[in-house]
Order: sequence, then structure tokens, then C-alpha cells
Amino acid sequence: MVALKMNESEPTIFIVDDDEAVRDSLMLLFQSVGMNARAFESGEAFLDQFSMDTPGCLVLDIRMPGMSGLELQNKLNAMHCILPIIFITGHGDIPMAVKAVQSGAIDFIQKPFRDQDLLDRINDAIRLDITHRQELTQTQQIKDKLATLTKREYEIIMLVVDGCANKVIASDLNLSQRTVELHRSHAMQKMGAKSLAHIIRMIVNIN
Amino acid sequence: MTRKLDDKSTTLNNMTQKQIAIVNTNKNTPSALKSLLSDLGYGVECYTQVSTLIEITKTHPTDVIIIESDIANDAGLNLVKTFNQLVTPIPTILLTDNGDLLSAVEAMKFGALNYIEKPIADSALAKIVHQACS
Repeated sequence: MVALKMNESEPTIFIVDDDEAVRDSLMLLFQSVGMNARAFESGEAFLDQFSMDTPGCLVLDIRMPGMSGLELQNKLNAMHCILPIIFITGHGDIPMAVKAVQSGAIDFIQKPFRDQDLLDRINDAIRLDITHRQELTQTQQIKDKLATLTKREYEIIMLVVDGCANKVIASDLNLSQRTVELHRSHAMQKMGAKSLAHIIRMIVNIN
Repeated sequence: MTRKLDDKSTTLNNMTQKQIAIVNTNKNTPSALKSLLSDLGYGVECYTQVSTLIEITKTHPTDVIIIESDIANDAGLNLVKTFNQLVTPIPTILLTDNGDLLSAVEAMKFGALNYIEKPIADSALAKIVHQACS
């Protein structure tokens, strides 16, 4: 399998299936609708080559020699990989399907399926992944900014978010009101918060 | 609405006892499940009406809902959705003897805790219910 060089930020459909005919037909299907796709013959090959930073989704065969689809899913979960997984199976095995969805798979499709059904689910999965990644990035940005606050600023901003007035914070922390105001305004600047509502939204977001 | 209490009603006062509701719209099915779960120390109530179950759970704390057999169809799936969308969701387990992959996947996607095909060993079921309650 030749690893194609691709734009890492472009959503990519990763196919993992030991059956070459299935890989080829899926590649053809995805290319025919202009989607980026890469195929792998095993879970091991996929783990070797994929990048966690590429958005998209994983179309995964459940039964494979070597690492099974469920094993690959567990490995990815352990790596905190958020790539949505759509399982494809030849045989309707209910316990496997239940296990797969319990472990976070977003869908489990039985062969034969209609091409359009698969494409619809893949589109949903990719949209979900992109939204999820954006949320994670925003959360990380807020956390990074929070990390730049001094201990005192952090303490005061958390009390502000809890709804405490400057006067109350001052008396709680044994500071002058003026000092509280200064710390509060520094913290708001560092956080890039335009208003009280804005900072509250940021803190609520990361919890 | 009166709640039918069986001879185990006294134990209902025990707040640590986990409460399980079984819904089975097939009135003729004697629930072996009920005696199994009662023997295991759970408080168990059986319902044949989905609407009654929904009303009761509004006022009576219920830890797990078991949706039995014949309604592992649209009605069962809707029930899963209903209880999963509550402010405090109640875990649901589907127990069916004519399951199919599609409804299993749908049920799980709607938020069911488990979808089990009969027959299932008592010990395996006990384990699943125990996990659901903890």
C-alpha cells in the first residue's frame, strides 16, 4: 500500500479492512464523490501510519486476522484518539455491535449496504469530528490562557465566576477592594475576556 | 394511580435497595426475570403499559429499566430514548428473544446500556444489572 501524501487538515476517510476487494471498492466509492481516503490492510498498518491530527473518520472491518476491529478501537481509545468509528461487518453479531457502540463507535453497518447510506453516515461522522476538534481546540486555548494567570488572579477570577462581588472577594481574601479590582482587570485582559458573561462562558466551557 | 406492592413492599423503605422496573407489553409472559431479580435483593416492579411506567418513574426513583422481549421494536427504542433524555437519565437494558442487529445498533445509539439476546445465563444477567445499578 503506497502511503499517499495528503493535506493533513483535509478530512480523510481511513479504511481498515483485510479484504483487498473491499478496500478497492470503498476507495473507488469515496474517490468518486471527491473525498480523501486512505486504505490499510490491518489495524497494525493503520496505527503505524495515521496521524491523530487528521480529522475524518475510520471505516473499520470488525473481523480481521491479527488485530480485530474491536481491538483497534480499544487501542485508539487508550490513545485518547477521537476519530469517529463506523464499523462494517459481514455477519450480524449483536454482542459485537453492542460492545462496539458501548466503546464509542458511532455506527455499525451490516453488509450489504447501500453506498448512499454509508456516505451519509460518513458525512455525519466527519462533521461530528470537525465540531469535536474545534471544541477541543477552544477548550485548550482557554486552559492555556488560564495557565498564564498568577495564583492570586486565578483565585479571584474563579470567585468572580462564582458570582462574588469585588467587595465580598476583598473581605474573603483580606485584600483591599482596589487590589481585587486590579487583579481582576489583569486576569480579564490575559483571558481576552470582554465581559463578565464572556469569562463565565469560557470557564463553563472547559468544565 | 395506585402502585401494586407485593410482599417485598416492606423493603421499599430501605433506601439502599436498588429499584428495577421491568416492562413487558405481552401480558401472558410470566416474568422469570422478576423472581430472579427479587431473589437477588432488588426491588422489582413489572409493567405491561408503557404509559404507566413513564408516570411511575416520575415520582418513584428507578435505578434501571428492563425492556423485555416483544417490544424491542420501535416502541422499545422510543422508550430507550425517552429515559435517556430525562434530566437524570435512567439506564435501560433491552432483553429480547427476537433481536436483530439493526435494532441493537439503534438502541445503543439511542443510549441503551445494553441489548441482550435471550437466552442469557442468570449469572450473566445478574452481572449486567449489578453494573447498571452501580
